[in-house]
Formats: sequence, structure tokens, C-alpha cells
Amino acid sequence: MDPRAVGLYRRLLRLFPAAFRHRFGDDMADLFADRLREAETRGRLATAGFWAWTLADVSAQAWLERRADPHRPLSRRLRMRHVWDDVLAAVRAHVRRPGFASAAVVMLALGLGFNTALFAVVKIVLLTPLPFPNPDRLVMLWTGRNPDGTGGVNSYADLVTWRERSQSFDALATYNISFMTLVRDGDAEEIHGSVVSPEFFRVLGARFAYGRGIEAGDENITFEQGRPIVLSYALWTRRFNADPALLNHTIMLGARLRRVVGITSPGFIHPEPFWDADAQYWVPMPVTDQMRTAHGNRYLRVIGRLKAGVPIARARTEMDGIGHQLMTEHPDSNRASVVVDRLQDDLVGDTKSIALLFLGASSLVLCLGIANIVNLLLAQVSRRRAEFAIRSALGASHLRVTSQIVIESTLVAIVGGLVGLGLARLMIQAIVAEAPSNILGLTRTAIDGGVIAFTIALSTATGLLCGMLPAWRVARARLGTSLGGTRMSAGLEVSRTRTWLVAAELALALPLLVGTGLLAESLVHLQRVDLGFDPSHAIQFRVTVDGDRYATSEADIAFFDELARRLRAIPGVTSAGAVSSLPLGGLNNTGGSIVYRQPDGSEATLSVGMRSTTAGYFPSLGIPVRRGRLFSMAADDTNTIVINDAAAARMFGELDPLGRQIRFGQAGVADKKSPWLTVIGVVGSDRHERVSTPPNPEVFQPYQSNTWGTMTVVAGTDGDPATLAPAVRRTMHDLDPRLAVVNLAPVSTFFEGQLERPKFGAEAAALLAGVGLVLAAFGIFAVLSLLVTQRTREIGIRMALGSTRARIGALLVRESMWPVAAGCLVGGLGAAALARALGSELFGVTATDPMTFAAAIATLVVTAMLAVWRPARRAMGVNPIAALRAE
Amino acid sequence: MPPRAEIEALLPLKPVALQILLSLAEGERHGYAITMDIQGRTSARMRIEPGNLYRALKTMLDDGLIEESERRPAPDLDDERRRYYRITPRGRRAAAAEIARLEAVVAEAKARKWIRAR
Repeated sequence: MDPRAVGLYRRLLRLFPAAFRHRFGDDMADLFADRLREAETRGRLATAGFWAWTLADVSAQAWLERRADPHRPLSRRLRMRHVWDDVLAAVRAHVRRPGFASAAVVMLALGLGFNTALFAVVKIVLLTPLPFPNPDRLVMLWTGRNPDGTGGVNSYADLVTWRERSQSFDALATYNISFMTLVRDGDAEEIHGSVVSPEFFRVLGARFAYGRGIEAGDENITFEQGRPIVLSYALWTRRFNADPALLNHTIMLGARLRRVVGITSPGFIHPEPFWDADAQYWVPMPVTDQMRTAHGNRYLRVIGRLKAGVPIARARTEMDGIGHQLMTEHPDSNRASVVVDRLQDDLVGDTKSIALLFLGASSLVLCLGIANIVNLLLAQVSRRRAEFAIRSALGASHLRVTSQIVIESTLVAIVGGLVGLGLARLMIQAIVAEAPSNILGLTRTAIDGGVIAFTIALSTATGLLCGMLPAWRVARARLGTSLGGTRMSAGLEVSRTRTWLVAAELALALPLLVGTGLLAESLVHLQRVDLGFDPSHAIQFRVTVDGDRYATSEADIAFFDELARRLRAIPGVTSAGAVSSLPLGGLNNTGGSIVYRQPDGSEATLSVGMRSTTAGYFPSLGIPVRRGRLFSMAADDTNTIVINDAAAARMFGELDPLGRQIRFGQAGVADKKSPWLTVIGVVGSDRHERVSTPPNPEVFQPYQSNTWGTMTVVAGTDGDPATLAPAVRRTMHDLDPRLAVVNLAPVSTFFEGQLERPKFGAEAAALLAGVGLVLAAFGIFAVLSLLVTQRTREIGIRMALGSTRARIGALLVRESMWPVAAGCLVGGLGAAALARALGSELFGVTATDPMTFAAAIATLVVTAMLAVWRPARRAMGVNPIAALRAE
Repeated sequence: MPPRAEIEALLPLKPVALQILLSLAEGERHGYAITMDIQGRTSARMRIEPGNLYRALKTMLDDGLIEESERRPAPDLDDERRRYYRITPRGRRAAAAEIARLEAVVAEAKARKWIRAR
């Protein structure tokens, strides 16, 4: 037997009360030794088991013995009564000093409110799992990444290869945006949905209220036979009165018959909201031979379900390998490898980092509140020395005196937390109302049990934290000596602590200010961006020409021609036209590649945005014609094309682009269906996808050569475009009442829509920084004015010795600027880290923008100066005689 | 002789306490001997670790059921360092009362045919 074992056992015995240990300790150790020896003869396992038993025995029995010990100071119940007494005493103390209590409640309520609101957002956006079975196995597959970090769309041909070569997935499904006109009871409505491959519902593990999902072979059923459609539960209830008889019946969508084969279960959602709304139907995706072979024809989203047990990292490695194989096999069309994202990450996007950043910022505000409360409590501790000393002298234990302080601060914090919950409710309402709507689940943000529990826990922790430092001060101070009186200079050490609180507050406030400055500057830059078109004098709507009247291209052309003519007849409308994809309109499903001849005669390929337009489109949006001409009805424009600045520069550099020829397709691949087109005009480039991304090369075909079913109609106006909405709607109704007018709104709404998020971010940051600055100013003022009060005697001596008022003032300012400088230094480092994290949210300003940092620091220094001004002036007015008598 | 009510107030005895009393009824013993005896009689179904044992001993000493013994058994069996315990008359009465109580419980159970009468 190892002799150390008995030593260890004896140490364990300290868990017992001393009296018990003295009486039985030796015997117990002997008994233990006997038993251990006996256990060791039975092998290692028995020995280990014996130790486990011994540990359990000692801890359980020691606890029981201590509980039963009649000599311990207080029974549990009595102790609870003491705590309750202390709580009542704390309430009385706060009622006596309503100023402190209310200030503390307000300061903590702000910080706790911000934190609660942001926690609610983080919880719903980041912590709530997606409503699919095993959502962590759902992934999105993309071809490369766009500059803004989102994934690039895929081609069907690539998907075919991925399916053949990959091992990591149960299945890969593809889908694309779709919309159709639903005419019912004389009311035309555009509904949004998705074209899906047969694997789609299986990948998502969808359930159906009635019927089934889209299955293999559905895409081959003709419209005459009733091609299948699955309706969302919401559409089915809203437009079809939740009638189960609808199943297996045909409905009319546009001009086509579709047979309803299934209704999704109420909880099912499409994995991606289109245009801020959930998908309302799903139809099979027809696959053409061209889709199977054209690797560069990218417009599809691909979603997959990982096989059980396959980690995402393995899928990533595998798909990257396949992506590189494709890049070697099809160098013209495949320039980027395959990216695999978790579906959850894609849906949340960069909301995650932003939500966490703001949660961090709001915790800075909470810390500022805490610093101020600590500060106020320290001041109280100095003032209440006598009270504590008396209580101590009357027999209160150290623990009780200190616990009283902690109970007081916790009480304040919990009340602050409750008020903060109310504030958080208002903030969440503002977030839900103001925040960009395309962030998944944000509108579902609410205060629930979890959020309330978080707030209560955070408030309690905050209260304990606030009370800790002051309580420790009191515990350390020899209370007995304080009975003799309160000397003014006694609090000098406390003052030093508080001076450093000033530095801490500045260090906390500076990142808030810098972050706000950078976001605000980005917003200004975004608002001033040259979009390449004028969004303020145009109104737009989307229309899908389908139905028996538009069976031919000629009918489509005639419709848009007549529509433009009638729109131009409206007073206030200067021009009218149509485009397949409006800049910033969120619809960019028309991309492709074109072939052009380089100066040396060789062919090259360029990826471009492809638009189909009528001639009236360009003037309606105020897009300038740089060279050449636009399409016209008079000329024969069948084989002509208009390109934008960016495309001209990329293809022809400084050379004159007019008269040059381009064709759709891939360099070196002959395509009889794509004839050479002559460039007849160059227009200005516009920012098509995002306000923050520079213009891309674009080409514009005349609508006559490329008739699209769905077009965005734009009318240029000379006044406020919003006022023309009724007239535009009437015109459309007169022309064809069965066509739905979708999203009729001024073009500027899209521009403003894109600024929603940066605006919201800047406003939220400004609110946080404003509150933070006020809290910091309050803290600085409170500390410095007390500091001056405590130094009244010293100031009196200095003045008696001949110092001037100006010198006293200068001295105080100089001394108070030390913590300011230290705070700015530390805060500057914090701000630099925060600014780097803001990264992708910044536009037109660097994360280390010196002007922003300088402005933020200046704001803080001026605030500190203002805070020190009043106390300094008071000090300068000190009467030396009175000051010396003060003690 | 302690009044009956005083003994009744100690009932029911904890199983450990009853086992210790039974063990000491046969003679004075020290802690280790008590545990060995109990384990032997209960076929190791009752394990008594030191903490448990000495806490029980302490309570029983406080209640006057046992006392420390100054007498030592035969020298060859003696272990100088150890404290010996012996049962007090009060302890005997308490053990008898507890056993009577248990008997009543068993009789009751038999009457209700919960267990087979032998």
C-alpha cells in the first residue's frame, strides 16, 4: 500500500467539521488503511472502485455532518431571512437615494435593453435550426464566388458531371426562380415559385398536406395532359379556400393548364426567399439537350444533402477536385471551382458577423453602464463609511456588510433588466420594421422565454459585477477605524481607482464612435455613387405576357409597342420602354458569354449580362448614348446589338467599337444559331446588381430579336414618378385586364432598398455610440467633479501659497487628460480591431481611415474637456480659507 | 432505566445503527472489526465505509446507545491505537425495540399475505 494514500485520505477528511475530525480522524484513517489493503488484494479494478466509494462516502457524509452540525453559525432558514432583510434594506436604501437608483436603472436598462434585443436577433437568426429534417446535412453548391461573397450560379451541364463523379451526397437537386400569372375570378396576380428537379423535395425531406412532390418524369408531361404543379400551403389556403378537391384537378396559370399533384405541409418553406417572399408553387424543370452540354450556361442553384456521416470538409475537398477537373476539361466555360456552403450559412449570409458585431457593440454600452455604476457605488462607499462602520461595530459580519452592497447593486440591475426588456421590445419592433427584409427569420424575432432567461441571467451577473469592486473595498477597509469621523482625504485611494475608470470608459466608447463614423461615411459614399442611370425620374412595373393572346412573338412585340405608345400619352411621362432585367431590380437571371475578335484576328470570350430591350428603355432610365445610335422601329435591327461602356472597354479598348461584330457563344465553338451581330451603339454602364459593385459588361438586344415573356416596363417622368402610378395601372388595365401589374413603384425604391441595410446599420451604430458617449461623459463628469471636491484642501493650500486660478484650472485639466490619453490609446487599438471586422460593410472608406479616427478621438477629448470644465471652474473659485477649514 | 417513550423516540433506527448494535451485542469491538462483522453477517450486502461508520458511531454515542470502552480484550487480540466500543443497556433496549418494531411489520405483511408465512 502506498503510504501517500492515507495522507490523501486525511486531506479528504478536512471536508468534515474540525470537531468531528479530531474525534474520529485517526480511527477513520486506520480503518481506511485496513480496507484499502484488503481492496488491493482483490486487484486494480477493486482498488479503483474502492477509491470511488471512499470519495463518495467522504463527500456525502461530510456534507451530512456539516448540515447537522449544531455549532455552525446560522441555520439555512435564518440565513435566508438575513438575505431577505438585506433585500428590504436595499429597497429602503434606494428609496432614500432615488437619484442614484434611477440613474443606475436607466444606465443599466439601456445596456441590458440593447443586449437583449440583439440576443433575440442572434437567437432567431443563428441559433434556430432550419425547418428541415437533419438541416446540418443540407448544403448549397456554387460555381466560384461573387465579389460580395455570395456563391456563383451553376450550369445544368456541370451538375450532370457533379452527379456522375461525386460520392458525398445522397442527392443533388437544382432549382431556379419562376413566376407565373394566376388569373382567378377576374383578378390577375403574379405568383412566385420555383422550377425544380425531381430530387428537390427528397433532398429537403419535405412533407405534404396532400398528394406528392415533383417526381422524375413530371417534366415530360405535356401541358395538354396537365403538367404537374405543387402548391404551397399558403397559396392553397389564400387563393383556393383550402379546398382538398383541388388535388388532381387542373388549374389555369397564364395560358397553360397545370395539374395540382400536391400541397406542401404548412411548415414547409423554400430554402431561399425570392424577392422577400416565400415560394408559392413548384413545377418540374424541363431539361433540354442544350442544357446537358452547355457548361457555360449558368443560372441554376444547386442544393444537396450530404450522406449521413460525411463531414462537409470531405464534400468540399471532393467537389473542389471535380471543379478543377471541369476547369481542365472546359477551360473556356469553367474558370472557377466548386464551392460547398452549409445551407444555414448561406441563408444567414453575413448577417451572422454583423449581428455578432452589434452584440459586441451593445456589450460595450453595457460595460460603460457598469463602469458608471461601479463609479457611483465607490462614491457611495466613501460616503457611507460611517454607516458600514456602525453596522460592523454592532456585530454585523464582514460578509453581511459586503453582501449588502452586492444585494443593492443586484437589485438595481434586475430592475434595470426589467426596464431593459421593455426597451428591447421597442427595439425589436424597430428592427422588424426597419431591417432589410431578406434576412431569414428576422421578422420572427421576438422576446420569448429564452430571451427573458438571458436577460435575467445577464442582469444578475451585471449586478454582482457592479457590486463586487465596491464590496471588496469595504471588506478591505478597516471599518472600525472609520468610526472616528470621515476625513476628506481618506478616499484618495478610491479616487485613483476611479481615475482609471475614466480611462476605461473612454477606451470602451472609442470603438463605438469609430465604428459609427466608418458606417456613416460608407453610407454617404453609397448615396453619392454614380449608378449610371437616374432612378429618381422613372416608374416601373413587371409584366408577364402569357395567355392565348400572346402565342406568337409578333403579338408580344405588338403588345409592348402599344403599351409604350399609351404610356407616353400619359401627361408627365416623357418616354417608355421595357427591359428584361432592371438594374438593381434583383432579377439578374440573364447572363452568358459572347465572342469577339481581338485586334490580331483571334476570337476571345467575354462573360456579359444580356438584356433584351425596346428602344424606349434607355431614355426612360436616363442612360446616356455615348456613341452610335439605339434601335429604332424604322431601321432593320435584326442583327444589331448595343453594348455598354464597360463591355466596349473590355473587348475593344481604345478602338472604335461601332461596326464591330460579336456573337453569342464560346470562342472556337461554331454555332449556326448565333449569327454575328453588328455593334450599332454604346451606352453608359450602370450598376446592375448592387450599388456597391462596379458596372459589369452588358449587351442589349432589340426586343424584336429576343422576345421575353416577362419584362420590366419603365416610364421616364418629368415630375414625381409616384404620382403617376394610378394612371399607369389604368393604362395597363385598359390594354389587357388579364395581365398582372407587379411591383408598380418608382425605380428609386430599388436604390433605396439596397441602401436599407447600410442605413439601418449606420443608424443602429449611431444610436449605440450616442448612448455610449452620453454614458462615458456622465462617468467622466462624475469622477472628475468628485476628484476636485476631494482636492479642495490641496487647492486651498496651493492658492494660499500664491497659485493663480488659471494655474489651478490648468493643473486639473492637465491631470485629468492623462486617463483621457490612456483611454484613447487603448480604445484606438480596440477600434482598429472593430473596424477590420466591419470589413465588407464598408464602402469607399478604409478600415483605418485616419480622418474618422481623428474625429472620434476629438469628439471624446472635447467631451472630456466639457466634463472637466464645470468641476475645474468650481475649483478655481475655491476660497482658500474655507478650503482649509473644510477638514 | 430510561422511560419507554425516550427509547421509542429513537425509533426507527437506521439500518447501520441496528447492525452496529447487533455487532456490539456479541462483545466490544473497534471500527474495523465492526465493519468486518457486519459485512460477514450480511454477506457483504451492506458496505460500510469509514465516513458512514464513524458518523453513525458519533450519533449513537450522542444518543447514549453505545459508549467507548476502557476495558481491553485479551492482550493478543488488542490493538493499542484503536478505540473500542461497547453497547449500553439503553442500546440493548433500543435494539430490542427496533427488532420488535420490525417483527410487527413482518407480522403485518404476513397477515396481509404480502410474504409467505414459513
